[in-house]
Amino acid sequence: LKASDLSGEAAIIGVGYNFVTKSFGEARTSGVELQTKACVRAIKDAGLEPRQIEGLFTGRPPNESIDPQWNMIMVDSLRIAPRATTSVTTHGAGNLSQLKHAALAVCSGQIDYALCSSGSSAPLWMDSVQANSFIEADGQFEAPFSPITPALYAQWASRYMYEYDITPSDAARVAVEHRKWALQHPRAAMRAKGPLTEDDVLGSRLIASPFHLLDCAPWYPGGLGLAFVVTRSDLAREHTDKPIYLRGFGECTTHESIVGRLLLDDGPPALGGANLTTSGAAVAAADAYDMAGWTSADVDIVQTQAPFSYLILMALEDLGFCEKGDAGKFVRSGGIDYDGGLPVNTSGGMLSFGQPNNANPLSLEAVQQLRNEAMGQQVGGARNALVHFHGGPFGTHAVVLLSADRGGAGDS
Amino acid sequence: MDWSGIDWNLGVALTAGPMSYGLVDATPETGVFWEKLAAEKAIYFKRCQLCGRANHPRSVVCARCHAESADLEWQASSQLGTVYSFSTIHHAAFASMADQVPYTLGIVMLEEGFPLFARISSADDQSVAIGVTVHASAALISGKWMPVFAVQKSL
Repeated sequence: LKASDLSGEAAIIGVGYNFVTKSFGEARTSGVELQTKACVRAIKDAGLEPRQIEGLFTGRPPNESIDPQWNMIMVDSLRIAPRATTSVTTHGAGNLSQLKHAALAVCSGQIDYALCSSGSSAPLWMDSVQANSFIEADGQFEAPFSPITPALYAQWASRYMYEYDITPSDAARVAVEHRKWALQHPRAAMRAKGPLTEDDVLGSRLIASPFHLLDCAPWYPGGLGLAFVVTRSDLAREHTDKPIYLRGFGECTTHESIVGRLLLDDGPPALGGANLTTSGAAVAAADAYDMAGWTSADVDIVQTQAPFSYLILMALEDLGFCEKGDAGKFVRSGGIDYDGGLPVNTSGGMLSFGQPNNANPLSLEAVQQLRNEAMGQQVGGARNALVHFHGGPFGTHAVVLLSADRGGAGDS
Repeated sequence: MDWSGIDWNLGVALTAGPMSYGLVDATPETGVFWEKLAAEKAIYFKRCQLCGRANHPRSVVCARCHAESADLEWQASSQLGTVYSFSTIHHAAFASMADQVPYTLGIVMLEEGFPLFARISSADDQSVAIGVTVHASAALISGKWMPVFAVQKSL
């Protein structure tokens, strides 16, 4: 069996989402309510009845919950009886790789329809800045030092700048281009703040060097529940005339706390040994491209969850859009410009859309773009998308390649 | 905290900041590190007796050859290392740190070849840089003796 045998064999046939945005005056909601409503909307979008859902894959519990087995909470809330279910707990990355688990489940032939659910309302209920630091840091060896989340990711950024030609101005350029996309999206957190300049970013206060305030993702001022229904591609067109095919997927997890990345003596060769300049995204993307038979040149739009401008630069390299160390040059030469560059984070991304603690607007954005139903700026002719989620301090990575075309013999 | 006389097979009840996460503080496999740090201001690590790799004090098996803990021997480090990476924190997200910003947290690669996350200080935070030599000691942070490094004065 080869991974490429499964390329395009599963598809997303239903999408449901549920935003609560403070500035819209929407009622404060629990994570379970957000996700449950998104799920029933996705099931309806696929033209199914809840009893037909046989698989349920969730992400980790949202930060505001103390329930460790989130899929079980959702089973209770949805009142379904899945024959395949688990929470995918690779931090934020699990909210994307649940699509892979769903695809494998339906391709096993044992079930036909799997539901993927993720979501969080943490910023409505708690201090995400403080709480998240304790989740990102090792309890014994790191947390007592009070490392705010940006300071953990900044360990990557400082080393990256030391080894390669990456400048604060390059990072600022990333933030500036992201803001342009956000200005077009009605739900983007930073839309009302207006456009940015590089001087705005470089002049914003230092949070954790080298990160200025505007290099950092803000927490989304609200919550988002998001659900997808996945089935085998041969069933897809009975449910929708716009199936979105899963053409490739890959994952790589290197560490839970930041120091662990430097203790990985024998990882996959693509990681380049123990360092803080190449992430597991390089491995996840290579596997996904191999499965799909794609290169980065086949990708029309990119959604990456990297939550700091400098890490977006590193992700562009690891995901194959430029050589290692060349992201500064790539961005400087207009590589991700809103006008004419590669469309990266077309809803504003974590930097300007804002970061819900769990559900990710990025996979929603990718699917809406490929359905030609973008809520913000539609990218004309977008057929193929790369989506990258991560978790921990850049420790676990998932990449999914989505397409409006099935590919291979079944291309339509 | 007084680390002497603790039965590491039982462990100690612990919290991290305002939240309790169970066994997040000293555990049987890390107890010696915290004992030596508090008592001697010394940085201990686990040397693999089979392949020689210097392992992080948290290690249960060797990172290179996966030998089990019976083959990992606690040894004192030279306390000298170089800054591998760092970040200086200017934003006091925690009320307890309001009078401490800016403070620098980084990863030090000890001479023996294992990394440690720690606070790094100097007379002037600006002089912390990747590649500079730092020397370890211990300081009470959040009520716990933690490893801290200071930039070595150039001779």
